Amino acid sequence: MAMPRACEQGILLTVGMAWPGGPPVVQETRFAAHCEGAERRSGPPPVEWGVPDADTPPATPPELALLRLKEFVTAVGQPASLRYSRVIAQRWILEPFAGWRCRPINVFALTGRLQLANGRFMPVGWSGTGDGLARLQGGAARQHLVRVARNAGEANATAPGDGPAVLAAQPAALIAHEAIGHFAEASADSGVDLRHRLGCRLAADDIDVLDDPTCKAAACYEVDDDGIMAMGATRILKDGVLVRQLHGRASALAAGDIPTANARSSQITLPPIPRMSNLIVLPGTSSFGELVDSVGDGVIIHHLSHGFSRGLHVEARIVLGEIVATGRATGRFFTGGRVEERVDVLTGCMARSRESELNPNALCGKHGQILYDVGTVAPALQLSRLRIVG
Amino acid sequence: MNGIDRSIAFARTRDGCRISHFAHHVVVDGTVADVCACTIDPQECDGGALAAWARWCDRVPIDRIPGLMAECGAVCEGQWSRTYTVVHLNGAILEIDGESFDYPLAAYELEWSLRPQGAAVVLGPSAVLALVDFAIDGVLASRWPPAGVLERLSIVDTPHSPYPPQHRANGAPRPVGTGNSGVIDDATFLLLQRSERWQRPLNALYNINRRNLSVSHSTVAEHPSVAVVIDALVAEGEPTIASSNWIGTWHLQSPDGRCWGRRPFAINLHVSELLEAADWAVSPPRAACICDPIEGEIFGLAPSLLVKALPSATTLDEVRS
Repeated sequence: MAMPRACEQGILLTVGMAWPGGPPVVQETRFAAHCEGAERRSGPPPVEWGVPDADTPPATPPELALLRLKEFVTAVGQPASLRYSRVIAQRWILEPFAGWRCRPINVFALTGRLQLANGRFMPVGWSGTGDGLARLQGGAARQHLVRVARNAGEANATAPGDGPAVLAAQPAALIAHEAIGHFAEASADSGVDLRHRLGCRLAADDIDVLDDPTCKAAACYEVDDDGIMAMGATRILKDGVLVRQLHGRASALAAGDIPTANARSSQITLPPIPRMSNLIVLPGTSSFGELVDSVGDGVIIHHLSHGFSRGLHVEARIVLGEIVATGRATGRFFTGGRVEERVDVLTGCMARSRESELNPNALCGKHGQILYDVGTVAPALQLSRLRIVG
Repeated sequence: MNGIDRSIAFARTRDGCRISHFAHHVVVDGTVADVCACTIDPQECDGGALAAWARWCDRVPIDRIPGLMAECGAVCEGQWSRTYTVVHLNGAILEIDGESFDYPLAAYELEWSLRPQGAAVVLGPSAVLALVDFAIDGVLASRWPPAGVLERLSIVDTPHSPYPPQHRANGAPRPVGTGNSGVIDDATFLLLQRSERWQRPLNALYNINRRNLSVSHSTVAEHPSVAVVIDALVAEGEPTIASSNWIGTWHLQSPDGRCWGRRPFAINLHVSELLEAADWAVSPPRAACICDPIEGEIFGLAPSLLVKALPSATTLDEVRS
């Protein structure tokens, strides 16, 4: 069998603004690379490979990105050090049966931090498909960020505890991503068999979770980085139980399964490994107010960052939480500390809201590869208990 | 103005059999950079990588061999060029350019329970670098360093690196935490740091912008004659200055020689407390590497530190698989 071949060519735009002072920075990096098996090199592919020509999407004008970034910083109203990153590329993968397949890369990320009124930092992480400039200009995500920054800047320190909680849509998405999404991914090393995870209960028995690269959320692709065509959603959790794993070609072959179009690499010079695309937690029937009402005395987690999972362990930093007393949000906010849980934390999910939201942060790092477009769509979740540490 | 015109090519192996290659040419001219074709053939480095891996394979216990990485490469910039070899074991730098460091040279192992009672505890360079890096990212307040944390250490952000592909001779060191004024440097630096990953967003996941960390300690002491040396530490969670879980590997240094520890250990610690308990440097700053599961390999310089006593809240257990 011929060695797998792939190539890509594109531009990474970086626009940075730093506080305090310092001029804004713009850097454009043009790149070209190709690989054949483990042979990975910069530069365009050899002509004899016969890679088709394709139009690359137009690059974002740096001055426009800088203008939007300045407008964003002004609107947020907090000292900010931010970077806007934008990758536009054409990636080609030689599929053994179908020939060259094109995979456009069209992603952005806004990363950095705000300095809050109480002297703490608040991380900012937005990313996904497209240029993201409309999000910088306004909308619900920006309003949410401003609200979280204002409240976190006046919040008290988090008190450790273990009790009932409501996860708003963003933290619910982050926890689902870490606890279910990563647990469902086949190993990056196809020699490591994780099939024993199938059948594990990860959530309450009325929760189904899908992975869908075609649903136009944060990720959107027709073929994965193995050249496998995405046919639609893969149901990975049924009635709370893990029923499918997410595979690339090699991991599927090793597991005796079929690929699920989840082989993804952050750039063509790194090997594709099984990764989520868009994780979708199906919504419930409650309103957000009903979830809070049902908690009684507990907490609402409004915003989490720095989600992390390893083995059976899941954790994230608390950016903003709020005390709930007798079923009412009190306006007593807290910040700092962490949520520390096991991957089956969602077995304690009592109810879900009927509205789902896309987590604006779709950055995901694994095996040294950071993807800009790993989406999670989730409703708010009511949990019977959540462990918070200082 | 940033100006770089550098070719980097390397071959690396983790099993002494399969070799991955990478070669590219980075040109930075002001605000525009190109990552393009390189005329150096990385296959020319295969022999060096395989020989280095084989050299250390015989000296490392079989359970640890999956963590052994050997890389041989070449860096050319204008008239200047150099070849290099780096071998590390889960981040503990065993060799750079033929210079070996203080690690056992035979594959014998010692059970944790058989370590000499009363042996001093020394944090090796890679363990120190991992703890410092973790603490920096775990600090959420705007003032750096926060009171009581890492006060005895000098921590500098520098363009110099023990890893030749990302070393830059020009550029000034600066204190950590003032990196906001150096965004141009950061963008350029990232094209050199693990440069096969140039597409990732810059410093996407962490709070503090920086290039290479160089850590030093002003108080120097003799290396204890009998010491358990923690040669590498890998965090089991996200950076925090609260308690955190780590997996460590170790070896014993004694007048009879050096011997690898048989199994890794799990340690729960407060990073700041442990570093505060490390009162003396027992080696000059040496090449170190963190094997970060998300960022990949992060190189820097750090001394070995002698821990006078493990903080009372620290728990340490042997990992039994």
